[in-house]
Amino acid sequence: MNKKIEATLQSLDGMQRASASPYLLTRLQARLQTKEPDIFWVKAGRFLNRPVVAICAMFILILINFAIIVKSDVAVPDNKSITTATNYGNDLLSTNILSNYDLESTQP
Amino acid sequence: MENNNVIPSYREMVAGLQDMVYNTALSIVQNVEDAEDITQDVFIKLYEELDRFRGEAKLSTWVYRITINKALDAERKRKAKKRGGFLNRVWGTDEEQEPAHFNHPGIELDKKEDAAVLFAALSKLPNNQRIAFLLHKAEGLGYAEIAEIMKISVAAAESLQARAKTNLRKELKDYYQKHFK
Repeated sequence: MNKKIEATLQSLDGMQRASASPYLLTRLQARLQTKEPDIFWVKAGRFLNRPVVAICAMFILILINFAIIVKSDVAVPDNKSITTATNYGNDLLSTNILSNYDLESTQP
Repeated sequence: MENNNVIPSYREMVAGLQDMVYNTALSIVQNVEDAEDITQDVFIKLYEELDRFRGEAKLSTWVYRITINKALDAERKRKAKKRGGFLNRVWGTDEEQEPAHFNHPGIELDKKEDAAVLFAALSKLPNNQRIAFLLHKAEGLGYAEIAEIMKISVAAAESLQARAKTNLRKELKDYYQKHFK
């Protein structure tokens, strides 16, 4: 067993280098010619085009929408708007604007 | 390529380093197609970043580093793809599988079988031990060069080599006990 293990360990001794494809340079030239320039917007576009990014963005938008809907359903009536409406009524009463009642009045 | 004046030196560089890059990548990833892709990626990176090469280290050292990083990245992606099989996890079929036997084209015919077993055992080693072992065996580098490529001390390179051998012996013992009872 030990002999076999040692023989296996030494099996890489004297190994030759594997040779790369003879067409490597041609392929490299083709790749370099078709390579897109490394501009920020090109990179950003490529990043945003990824399905994972698009799906994540859509999921975040849905979450935000859902959160807004839930929040607006639970919201307590706004006291400020009620106060404003009351004030507006009071303002009308305090002015001398003729109301229907005034027109129908027979009193001078 | 619009820079015609760059092509001759780049051409020479590709011709001089292509087998070194391919052999290193092939020894690490143990797959011909992946090794070819990695070789192309390495030379594309070299073309783009040759201006940044400061000459502090030898060109070959720099190229070895790029090759090793690219090969380990490719291997990581391949493993992640395999692991990512959702159904495998759900149905529990993701049991530890023995790696497919790889035949390196540079191995002598009578050693091919043993070498295939050794490559399978190598794929189970930690990356730094595996790289140190392969640079020594597949590329025939000395400890000083390995240390420079891996940015460690010579003593650390020797230690990695020794640990790699110890772990390989254990792996091989397990393998032979399992397959030749």
